[in-house]
Amino acid sequence: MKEKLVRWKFYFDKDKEEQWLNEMADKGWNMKKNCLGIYIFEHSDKRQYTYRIDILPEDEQEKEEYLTFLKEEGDIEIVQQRLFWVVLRKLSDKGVFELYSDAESKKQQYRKMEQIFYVLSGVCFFFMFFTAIPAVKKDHALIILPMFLAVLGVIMLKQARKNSQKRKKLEQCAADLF
Amino acid sequence: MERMQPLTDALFYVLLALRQPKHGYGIIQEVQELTNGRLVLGAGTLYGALKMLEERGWISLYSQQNDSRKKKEYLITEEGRRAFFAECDRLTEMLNNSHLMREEEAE
Repeated sequence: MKEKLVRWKFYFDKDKEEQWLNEMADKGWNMKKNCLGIYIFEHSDKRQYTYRIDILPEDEQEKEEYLTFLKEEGDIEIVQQRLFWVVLRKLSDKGVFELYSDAESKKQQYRKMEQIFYVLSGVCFFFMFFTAIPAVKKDHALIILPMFLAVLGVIMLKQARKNSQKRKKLEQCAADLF
Repeated sequence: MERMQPLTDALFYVLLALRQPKHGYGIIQEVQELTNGRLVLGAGTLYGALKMLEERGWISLYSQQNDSRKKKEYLITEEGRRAFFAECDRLTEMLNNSHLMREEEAE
């Protein structure tokens, strides 16, 4: 009977989430599932896996192609897919697990995430206006929803800018990171 | 003559590895060997590189009729070979001029 552990955490920053998943893995807790901030871990005696999080292509066919490529060519396991993100892991004794080995592809990943967050913030602000109208016209108590969406939209914008900063930092580096 | 962008290490070695038909895993292995472990291609990086090289027409899918379950293999094209050698010319030019620095040190 495998030991289980449940945690409740919210991450928008992929790097921080990855870091946490790997810290847990170091302690012998491997993430098995996650949904809406609830993470379920399984126990193992030693450091078994390295975790990475990636963005999936929008196109359904490309998405399948990419995941198949990772599985077959990279020996990578798909732990959990959700929306555009995918949590991946690889057995530690199969070697170092890095998805992106040079600065160029790392920058592309940050650019993709930046775009997604801009789109998400746009969606939030759009619905904020949409829900603000009945709140203003009919019931002022309803204002709580557009307010919530406004906060969410700002958080999305912040994340977009964070990714943009990370990308620009890489561009300033003289040498490629391998 | 068209001004070409220099190739990254990853692209150079992927093209070199694909002088013979190979699938992704084979490319990663060979590049790691050729560079003595300096360059370990990430699966994500390699996927993007292969897509880009295929779009440019520098590599193409090497199809085999028999087993459909066989992994996709790629092979360099004529255009890819030309681009590779143009890059080699660029690197050779730089290396040839590098002797000047050593002569400076010697004085």
